[in-house]
Amino acid sequence: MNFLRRAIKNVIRVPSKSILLGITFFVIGNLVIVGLGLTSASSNAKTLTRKQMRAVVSYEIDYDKFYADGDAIENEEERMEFYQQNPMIDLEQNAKMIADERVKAVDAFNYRIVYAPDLQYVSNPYATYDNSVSYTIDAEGNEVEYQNPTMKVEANIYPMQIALYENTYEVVEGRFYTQDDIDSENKVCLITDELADINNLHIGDTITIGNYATYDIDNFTNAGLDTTNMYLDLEIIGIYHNNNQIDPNDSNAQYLQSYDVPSNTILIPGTTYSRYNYDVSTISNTYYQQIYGSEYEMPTYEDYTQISSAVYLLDDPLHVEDFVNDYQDELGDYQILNANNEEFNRMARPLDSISMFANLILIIVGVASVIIITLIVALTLKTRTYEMGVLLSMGVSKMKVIMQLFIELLIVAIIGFTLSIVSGSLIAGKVGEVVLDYQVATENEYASEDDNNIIYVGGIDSYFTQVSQEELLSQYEVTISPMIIAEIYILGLGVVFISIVIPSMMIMRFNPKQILLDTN
Amino acid sequence: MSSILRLEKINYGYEDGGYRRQILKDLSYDFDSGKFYTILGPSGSGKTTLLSIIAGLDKPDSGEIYYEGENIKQIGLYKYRRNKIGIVFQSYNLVNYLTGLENIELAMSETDNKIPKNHKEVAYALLAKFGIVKSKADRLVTRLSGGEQQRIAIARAIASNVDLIFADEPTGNLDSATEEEIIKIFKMLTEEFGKTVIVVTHSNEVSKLSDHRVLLHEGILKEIE
Repeated sequence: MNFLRRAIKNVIRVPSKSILLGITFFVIGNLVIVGLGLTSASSNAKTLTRKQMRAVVSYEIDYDKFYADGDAIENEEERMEFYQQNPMIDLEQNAKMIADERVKAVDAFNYRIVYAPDLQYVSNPYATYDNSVSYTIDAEGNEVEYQNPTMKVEANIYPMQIALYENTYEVVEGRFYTQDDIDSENKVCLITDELADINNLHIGDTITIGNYATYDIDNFTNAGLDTTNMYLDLEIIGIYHNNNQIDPNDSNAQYLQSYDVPSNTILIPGTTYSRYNYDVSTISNTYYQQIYGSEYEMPTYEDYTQISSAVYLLDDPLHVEDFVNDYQDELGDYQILNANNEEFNRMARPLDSISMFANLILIIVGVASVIIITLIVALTLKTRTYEMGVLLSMGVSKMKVIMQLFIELLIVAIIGFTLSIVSGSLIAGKVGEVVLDYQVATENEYASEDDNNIIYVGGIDSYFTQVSQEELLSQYEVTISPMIIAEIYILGLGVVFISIVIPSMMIMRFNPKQILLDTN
Repeated sequence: MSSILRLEKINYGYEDGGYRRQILKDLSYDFDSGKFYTILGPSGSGKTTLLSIIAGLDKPDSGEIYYEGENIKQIGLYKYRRNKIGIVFQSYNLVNYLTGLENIELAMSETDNKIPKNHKEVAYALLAKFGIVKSKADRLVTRLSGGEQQRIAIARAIASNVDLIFADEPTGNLDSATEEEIIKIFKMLTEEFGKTVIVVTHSNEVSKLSDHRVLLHEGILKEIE
């Protein structure tokens, strides 16, 4: 009869000890399930909500902090000097993050509204007046017609734009520009199918865009600018469909300019557009330098490659936090990675409180159970020294005696924990509801006193999926998953293992002769 | 006749009330194989201590013990107890949450000696040999009489197929009728099974039936004619 069978027989035939231990494990099991259930429900709710959110992280400048720091400088001269050191996006750092395998698409571009004198633009179908021109008053008080730009340029420095990756932009003919186009500053572009149709444009045709209206040319003639260098000729390499549409319910729909019409968006490599801007500006600035002298500072090419922010679309919403953690520390002053975490974390505060509460339960239960089980086993062992003496006198090794004790505990623990899974699931569900209601009530009271629950959304935030706290909390459901059940058994095994340490040390000190002499 | 157990210059003592009490003094003795020995001696003479030492439950201060010519230290005390000897105690020392049969199976499963695979049948047969019928063999040992428990204890001692049996006052808790039965069993062990039996006892009844009566006096063993 090996130690395993002896252990089973001991559990069955010494029921008082087994029942006492079984009840203890049952109670521990229930508390552990409540703890694990609450923690898991909080984590699941956050994960499910995260999964519903777009996996975007933006690399941007924390202007709030920058201006707060600037305002704190009392000396005006120092303050002005501080403000002149405008923080910028580090393009090398940007390139490093773009190379991360989790990044699937990037919006690192400059928007610019431009003129395209040869192109018929797609009209805003909701416009109630002709918005292609504006009027202004000149120095002599005459009303002057001012022609509005008609197109919008999106000049990205990465060949996979987020809109393209998410199929908001769908290439219907030709191709998107490549990294090679970007690196070589190729003068290529993509236009929308609607724009192509109304202008009868095809792949291989050329369009012309520019930052200036044609009637401005005269003003720039002295600076050396003319129609040959004020405009940028671009070869159409692709025609795409823009699934963005003007929302007719938008109260501003009728006022939107033609460049706001999604079909008037032209996509070009960021470097091509930067080079164009630099070239134009070099010519005009050279002229100004002639007028104002050598003190006039000439801009560099790098001034035109600068971006105000970059937005990364990751492969999985659950990678967002890790991505931020991986790179945040590498960023320079006032550069931040924004994953809309503050907002998410604020909403998830009740869940975090529950998790903290549940983890506290787990720690207390873990420590208490080890102490209680150790005491019970040690006390039981006192009454079993005779049996131990007999076994040792027969040549049974101390290790086998310890193993028997371990198996006995394990059997009772498995029975106790198994029974507790049923009751613990019910208890955890009820406790979860009560605790969540309490936390939300407390949180709302706290929030209304603290920040009046106002959420500020704007700018780059449009990339982020807005989730309400109700949506987040509606995901909170305490269920006992197979993973939790596995965790309970693993924890139980750990408790049994630790609880057996002291009794094992007692056994190792047993002297069979002394035990048997005392008994006899 | 070959020696199964040889004691060579065994010394054992302990501190008691500030002075050293020497229990065994250069004790040497040869126990022959297949014989029934009784060790007699007054209370406190060290009989149980001697038994503990030769049973590998304790170590002498000096001296050597050889089992069939091999030092038991070389064998290892746990292995020695598991594979070479069986011990019977005054208070039976059975595992009380097991049945009589299971106590026998326990010894069979722990030993490294060759035992027939059908443990249960062998154990029933062994117990039957000692007057324990199947219905009693299947009872928890706590529900058996003292005599029955002692018979089971003796059966357990030889169940692991050992040749040397030690017994410490095996009849101390039994009435005279039962004592007689137990003595017969010990005799049977030597005569029928060829075992060597060494019994520590106060009982003249027991010692009269042994092959060798040995007195432990002033730390040494002397055979009584």
